[in-house]
Amino acid sequence: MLTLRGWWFFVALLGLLAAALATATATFVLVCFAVLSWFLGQWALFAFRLRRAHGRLGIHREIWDDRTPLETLWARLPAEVRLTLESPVAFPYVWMVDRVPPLAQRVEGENATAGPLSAEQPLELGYRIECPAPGLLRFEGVKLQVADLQGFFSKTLFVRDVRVVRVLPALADARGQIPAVKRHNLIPLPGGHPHRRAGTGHELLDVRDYLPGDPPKLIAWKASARRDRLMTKELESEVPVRCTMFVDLSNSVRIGAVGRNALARIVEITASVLQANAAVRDLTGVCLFDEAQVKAYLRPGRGTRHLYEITNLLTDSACLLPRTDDVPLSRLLPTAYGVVQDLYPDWLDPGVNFMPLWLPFWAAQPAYTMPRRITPAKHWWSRSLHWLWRRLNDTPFGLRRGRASRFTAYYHRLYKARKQIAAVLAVLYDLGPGGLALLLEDDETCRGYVQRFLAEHQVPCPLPFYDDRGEYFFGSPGKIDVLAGALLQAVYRGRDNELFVLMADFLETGPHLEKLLRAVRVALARHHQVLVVCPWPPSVPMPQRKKIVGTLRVPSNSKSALRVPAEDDGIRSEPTTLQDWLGRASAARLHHAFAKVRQEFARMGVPVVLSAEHEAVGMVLHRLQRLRTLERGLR
Amino acid sequence: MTEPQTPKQPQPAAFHYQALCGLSLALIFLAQLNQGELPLNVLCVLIGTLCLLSRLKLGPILLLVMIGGVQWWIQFRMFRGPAQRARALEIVDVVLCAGVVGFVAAHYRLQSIWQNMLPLDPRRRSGTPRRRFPWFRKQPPIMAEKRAQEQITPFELAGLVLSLPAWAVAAQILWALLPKQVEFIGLPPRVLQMIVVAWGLAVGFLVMRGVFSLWRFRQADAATAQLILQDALWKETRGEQRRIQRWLAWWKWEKRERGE
Repeated sequence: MLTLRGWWFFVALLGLLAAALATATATFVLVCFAVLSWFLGQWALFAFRLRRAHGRLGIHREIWDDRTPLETLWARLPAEVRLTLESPVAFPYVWMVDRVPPLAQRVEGENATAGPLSAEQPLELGYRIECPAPGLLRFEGVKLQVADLQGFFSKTLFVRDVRVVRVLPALADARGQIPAVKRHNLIPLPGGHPHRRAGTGHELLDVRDYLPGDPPKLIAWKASARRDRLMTKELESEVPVRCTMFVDLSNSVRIGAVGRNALARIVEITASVLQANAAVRDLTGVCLFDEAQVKAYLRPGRGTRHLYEITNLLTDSACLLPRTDDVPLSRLLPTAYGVVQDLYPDWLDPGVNFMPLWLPFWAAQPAYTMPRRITPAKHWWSRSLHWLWRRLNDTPFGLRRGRASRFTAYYHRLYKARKQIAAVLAVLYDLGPGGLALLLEDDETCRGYVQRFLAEHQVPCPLPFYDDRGEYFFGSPGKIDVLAGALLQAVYRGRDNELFVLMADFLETGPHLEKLLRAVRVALARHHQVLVVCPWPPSVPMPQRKKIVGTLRVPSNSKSALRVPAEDDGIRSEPTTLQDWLGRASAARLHHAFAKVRQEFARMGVPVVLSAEHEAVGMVLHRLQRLRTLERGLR
Repeated sequence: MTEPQTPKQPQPAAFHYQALCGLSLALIFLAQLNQGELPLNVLCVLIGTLCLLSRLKLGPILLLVMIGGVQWWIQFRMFRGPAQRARALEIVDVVLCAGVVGFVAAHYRLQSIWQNMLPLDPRRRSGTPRRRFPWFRKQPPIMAEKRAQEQITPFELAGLVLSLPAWAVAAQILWALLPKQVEFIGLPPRVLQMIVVAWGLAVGFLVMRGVFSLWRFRQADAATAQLILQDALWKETRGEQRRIQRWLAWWKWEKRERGE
């Protein structure tokens, strides 16, 4: 509670008082008593105000567009956050800062303010934000720093007021332009023909010469009278085009900051295709999957309810963060401790979350509970030796790295952070009376809960990507089997020629594609169309393409979009630092993997496009258009 | 139709606190002049003025040291050494105490406007990176959260001025409570006074801490109460809990190693 200024003043004052008493300078003793009583009075007043205000501070948050308050936001459209802090207790000075959610960007105004606070004079704050991608906007609350007028005492508080706001995908057309006047139109405009094949619908498609056998009721009498020969009305087909999007939610696409990773781009593409299809009354379905299972499957459908159902599903999935069991706990704890310090400062107080200083030296974590790589014995005869060696290493006499780490300041800091985080998480997740000790001793469980805590608060943690042998942690070949199964199920349920868009990261899966390729062959054999959209990390330059994939005809002006200028590559002609070399090597490896995936799918005539390309949405819609005009009814 | 313009009220600013500092220095000067000391008194006021003009952070402490020196000199000149004298409520002492408290409070409030109100946070940096020392790496300077002059209210100024006599009277009460000319187990009165003051402060802190802790426990919400109970349980049984959880963690690893 005492600031540095307060400590210095208090110590100096006590020293002067002691000197005055020692020299029996009565007048100066009086002066010191007066100043001391004033100082202690200020201290007591500050503590009294803090205690009285506990639990009575309230914040009122509103999100506005230009005219009205909002419950949901749209990506890429700015909104204003208005915040009011109310307190029945008066404070002379309060500094308030609102924690801007990771998904949002502050575009105007300050998210912090300061001033006196009282019941009659609440503290108000307003700033404008913009969300570049869809997802969930999580407002945690406001951080307060209360101080007295002299700056002797200060206390950090956090007023928790969790509010989650959905940020829906930007309503964009196929070219990615946000409509300004009318947002979407589910009824086709008069004169527009979404289904250009002749059929038995109700909309007029064309007028042609009468052929024997044409039904008489379709004769266009006025046109026949004008031309002096029989003409027949041709109606358009109303068989809709179906499209199912398979969206990869595995860890590999979640890597990166919230809203700026490959997953955000995939969700954006899916939402754009969904909206474009809804505009022409085509049916769109979605299948969300990860490395373990199919998370959600919505059959192709149309209508406002279906549109919003898929949009909400995509929005809720867009903010997922990667999770792995291979990250060392020591990398997670500092990040988590920072979050706890920010959001739960009152739960780190020694009065409620005590940490004995000597505990790390006395009760350091033993080797036999630490995660280690399991290396089985190579030969049957060496099993007993292997077992003995392991047991010896687990004893206090075993030699291993970090044996004396308990005496380092780093270990002490880490142990303290772990104990306090464990106490907070045990309460938050209701782990019971033994939860604190469980998280303190079991690394694996603690890692799981810490990652969950960080993911819930949308805080990305530093993750390793490759293990000691150079294998990618997030390759997750299991998702290939899941995707293949889901694709076969969709083919089985499919009624007509459908377009299946596979938006999955195959770059690091290695030689596990065969099962998926078999499923794709089944789909193609049933006259469905398949298109692969490969998520691409935003920070890695895209491969330069000399020719257009497949047989798609892309508008001429998109050629420049496919080519990445040399200065945007992020790869200089001559790498100078180790980071440049590593960046270049990993980019080259990804380019090679992409070429290999493209080659695998090209053998079956399945085009592969990158999600980072601006024309990805256009290519999906182009493929749908081709399905509509050329191959209608062929089975 | 134009709206009638209301006359703008003059807002208090840092100048008012500077004036209060000056007024306090004048009170100190008058009080010490009454004690018959001019040269050191003038020096004391000059140092106070210099601290005010130069915005020195240690200004209040420096002034307190100077006043201590002056008072010690007056005492030494009168009694030729340390001597204890019984004092009743004297108006000069009250004026001196009020002046010193006024200067100290006003100067620290000015520091909140000039320097920083809140403790400096090394994570909040802004501006052009620069080195603090030639061998340090460049870093942007730490942002200081200052109090805006517009936030000064007439009430806080009036409150401070009106409370000054109260602190002076409180000092007199404390002085009256202090044992004088009393010997206890052979300790001289000065040492006894220091022990009494130290004990008084320690006991006072403990009592206040206890009261505020009880208040906090009564105010705790369900989650905080659960945290307190969990911590109490852990303190009592952490050895047993540690042993059980380590055994379970070891068993888990062994099970995994055996491939079960």
